[in-house]
Amino acid sequence: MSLLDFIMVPQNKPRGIEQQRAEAYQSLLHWSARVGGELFGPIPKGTRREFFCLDSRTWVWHEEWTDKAGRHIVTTRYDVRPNGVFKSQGANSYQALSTEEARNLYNAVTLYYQRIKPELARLRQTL
Amino acid sequence: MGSSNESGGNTNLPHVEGIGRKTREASIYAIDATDAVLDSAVFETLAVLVNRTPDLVAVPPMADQQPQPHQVQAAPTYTNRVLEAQAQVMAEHAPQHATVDDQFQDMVANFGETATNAPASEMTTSDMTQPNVQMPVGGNQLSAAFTPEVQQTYFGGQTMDDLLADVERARGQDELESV
Repeated sequence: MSLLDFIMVPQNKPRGIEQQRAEAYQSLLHWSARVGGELFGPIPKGTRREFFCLDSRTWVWHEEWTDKAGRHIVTTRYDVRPNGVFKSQGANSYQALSTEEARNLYNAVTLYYQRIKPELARLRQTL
Repeated sequence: MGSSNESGGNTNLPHVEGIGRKTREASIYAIDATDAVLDSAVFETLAVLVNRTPDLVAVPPMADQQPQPHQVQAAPTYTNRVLEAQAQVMAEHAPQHATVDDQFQDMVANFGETATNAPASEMTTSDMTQPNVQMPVGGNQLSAAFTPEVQQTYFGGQTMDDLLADVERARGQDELESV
């Protein structure tokens, strides 16, 4: 199920509703990213870490930090394919995951689910 | 994003900015969409990981295991569901391999453009042009960000509450420092 299936609405829907849906979805995505970034332990001061589910086949790890060399920004995509999960940090750098990294991704995804899922239900109830 | 929660939800989590300011219909729609995408993504991801790495799940799930207070219910149950759904998920994808591979090649060829599907404020395209940029701690793997303390706490067999407590302590400390 793709994000577009939800964001795209029938043509007879007023554009305002479509826009509001998209903005609300983006708000949830930002929130999920922040919560996901906290799953791996305390975030060092000055570091921005986000981990989130972009769509049904993509997980994103985003990290920004500063050291003596300056500000760094790294975005890692984990693409789920039928024959495995591949990560990429550049246009030509798709790599299969090692067993250790696959296990960590498994744990991270499980934790993410455990953390986000109940909160979505809670949010729904509060509206 | 603020650290308070005005939506009446779990105060452990940051407030979801924007949700309350949208119409109820739009907010519920977005929540349902997020929920459905999450379900799909988690099922597919775990199914593929388990399928490709059979020894990934070290402890077999117990079908009759009852969750303890404060223990997240999803873990044992979910793992079971993944294992049960694994064959179905893979069967559903099997006829599509060629198509998916084609799409994957397209995605690789156009990765700069596909990356912009992510939220604009959260990602930049500049880092996408720098392959194999090193992660900040100890290498280029997801494992790098698990602190030894967290690994010992959570993956050493204790509950996730310990992990969350660490997060809360760290957040509280940050808030104190920011005052």
